[in-house]
Amino acid sequence: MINPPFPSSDPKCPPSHLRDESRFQGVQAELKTPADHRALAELAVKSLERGQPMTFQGARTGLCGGCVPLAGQAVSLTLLDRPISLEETPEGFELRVQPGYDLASLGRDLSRRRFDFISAKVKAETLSAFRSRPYFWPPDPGERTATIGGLASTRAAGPGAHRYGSVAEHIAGLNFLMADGQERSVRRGRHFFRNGRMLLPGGQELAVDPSRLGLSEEADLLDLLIGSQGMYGLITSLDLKLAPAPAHVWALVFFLDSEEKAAALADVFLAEPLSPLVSLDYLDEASLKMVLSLRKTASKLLEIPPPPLGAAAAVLLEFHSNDESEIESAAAKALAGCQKVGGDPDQSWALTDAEAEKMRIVRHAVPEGLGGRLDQIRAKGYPVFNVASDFTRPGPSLTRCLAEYRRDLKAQNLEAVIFGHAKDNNLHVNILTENVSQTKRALELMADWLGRARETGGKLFQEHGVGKLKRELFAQAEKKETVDAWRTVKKTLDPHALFNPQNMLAD
Amino acid sequence: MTKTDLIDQNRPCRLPEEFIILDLRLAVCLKQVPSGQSGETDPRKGFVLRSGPGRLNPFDGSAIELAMSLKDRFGASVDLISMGPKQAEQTLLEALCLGPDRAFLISDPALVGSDSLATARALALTLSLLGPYDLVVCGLTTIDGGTSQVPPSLSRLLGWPFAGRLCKVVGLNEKELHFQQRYQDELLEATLPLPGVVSTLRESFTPRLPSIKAKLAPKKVTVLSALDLARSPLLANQESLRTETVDVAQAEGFSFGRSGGGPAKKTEPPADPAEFDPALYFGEKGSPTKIQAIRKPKPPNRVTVRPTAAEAAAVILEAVKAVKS
Repeated sequence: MINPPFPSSDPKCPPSHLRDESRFQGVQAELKTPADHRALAELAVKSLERGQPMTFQGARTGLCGGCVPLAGQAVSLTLLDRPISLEETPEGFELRVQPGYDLASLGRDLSRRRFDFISAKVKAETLSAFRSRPYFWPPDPGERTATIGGLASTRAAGPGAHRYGSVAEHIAGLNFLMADGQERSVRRGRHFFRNGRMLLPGGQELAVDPSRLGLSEEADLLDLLIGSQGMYGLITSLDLKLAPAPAHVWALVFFLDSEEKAAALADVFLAEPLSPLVSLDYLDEASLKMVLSLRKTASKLLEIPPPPLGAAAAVLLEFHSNDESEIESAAAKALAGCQKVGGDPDQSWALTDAEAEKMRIVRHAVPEGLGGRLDQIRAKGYPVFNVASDFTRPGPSLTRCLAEYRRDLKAQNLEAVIFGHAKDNNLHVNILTENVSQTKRALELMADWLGRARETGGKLFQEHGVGKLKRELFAQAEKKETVDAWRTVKKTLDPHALFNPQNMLAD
Repeated sequence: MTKTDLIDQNRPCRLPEEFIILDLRLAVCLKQVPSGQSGETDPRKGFVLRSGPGRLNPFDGSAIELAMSLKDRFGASVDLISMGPKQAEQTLLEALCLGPDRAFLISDPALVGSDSLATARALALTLSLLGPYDLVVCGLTTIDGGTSQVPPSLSRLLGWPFAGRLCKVVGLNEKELHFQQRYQDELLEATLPLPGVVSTLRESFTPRLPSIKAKLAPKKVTVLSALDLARSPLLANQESLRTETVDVAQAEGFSFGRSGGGPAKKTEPPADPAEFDPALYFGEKGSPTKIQAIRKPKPPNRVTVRPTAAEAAAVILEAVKAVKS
């Protein structure tokens, strides 16, 4: 695995642009930061003509090194960070944004119902209708600084995927610069597979079995591009489907004194679904400890009390509904579930509406803390990086899954921080490594787990992507025909391998 | 990794080694402030418009936390008292989820537009009516008004000692509160005789979060009108509570005007509460006795000499030491 221990000394590219949150380290690249769409398009077209590889970057919050350059140019999209226009549709509204527009800005603009549009063509009546009630973009990945382009590239999901699915379900279309230098509009259902063939916007034909790509028979080009990690072209704008915001949001946190009880509680919630449930997450004791240690430095966490004494794990739920009594009834059921598994109902938090953000802050503190820990170890000269699972494993209970992971970790003499989404056991098992030997064992263990997940029909790379960090795991864990199918797509859409080279597929 | 790793040394323990029951009566004064972007003011009268959604003043969360930690440790009762429009009831209901015993809202059209002094008077009357209390806890300031004047004004009106900027409670008994307070980098340790009034530093007492059980439990807020306050024993002992603005002027070198208290005039308490005239006690509706902010553009090339932050801090410290001695 390519992972040089120290930052490149190349003066043309600051070290911060040669890594992402996984701490995967890139090498030699020239940093380009186009200021607007025109400059970006010109840069891309020129680079295609000259055969210069481009690695596109958003906020570099990815967890697989997908935006980390290994050659050519790093193209930062952070200056393309504005909303473009707003359209009213029969389903609600579509907000067109530049790829560098981030989740925090989106949340802020939706909350104040005011946008700094690039286009002056937004109709006054459209804006007036939009302002008549609050709207939101349902996907809720925890990293608020992540850009929309980055989220689309990795097909990010987040805790809200329990009800709302991934970002793919909430993007109506996008504009896409292809290998021929032409920019094209891609909308839902316009270019789709038929008998293993898809007619692409430029007139080319893509011949591949969509089921080998993990896509349905009805999948279209948008399904293929969202989650493609920038391998097939450049996303220049995205149309986000905005939905009416729920009138009431509740976040509940149950703290339990053992992992077994917490897993059993999550299993109770999965077995008896609570209707307004939007997310169901799990944090283990190491995650809680990470939150606690971050309280010393993270100002946002200072306004949140520490986990209760004796808490060994936590189960986090979020409810959305327009009827608060429906949420209250679900919360009462959840409370009964807590008592059923032997939990203490007083060791819980109930946060409503704006306060619910506090639960998201706690949850997001865990990956933040893991990143900080990696920095500390790397500062000592050890070339460690994030080794974490991101697969679903439908079938077994969360209790059984966790027990298996603990047993395997113990056998390998490894420690991990485990958190993630209870639905389909989409847990992020972050194996804590401090040296090369541990990293090697961690990767072997991860490959073993991926194999088991594949046997039970799980999705192997769910919401973080493959990037460069996991491409060897991808090659090992996926079937050969699947890897070949992805290679066919890459060769068809990017024959000269100039878009985000070495992502997912080794050259 | 052990479970004891989760212990935060700064967090008050629920069960101290020596469990003392004092049965103190504590009151927390809190305020609903406009949430989010809805912090608009009346352009003519200058006071904050409170028709939009509201939330608990963030500084008051620490006051509730201090009171609740004392309740956990010493077995006190905690009442919440607020003044505001009817929708402030929602904020009190949410604050009740944190464990206080009762909540009272002073809400009356006669009190609309009250400034810090009129607010302190209404709160003092309420505390006197509902009391006796051993300790009144307030947040340091509010995010909308920002005067920090209510806690010390309350202390003056009640005739109780005051300690501001509390950052730690060192000890407590029936007669006094032993505490630490922070002024910039200076940490002072002192004792407050009870009953007394304190204000808390926001960052020193992280508010607890409500449990699901508390959130779902039924809760009640008692609403008091200005007429209810006429029954307050404090009213009988006070001179006129009415203030009026006597002058508003541009002060040399400052951008704020000044206001003066009205002439002290002995007022007989009404024999019948129905005769109580809120305007006499809190000022006319809509014309608060507030210090008017005069925001005139600075003349060009004019040098304004103001004390530095360090000089101001030194003056405050001297004053604190003088009070202590």
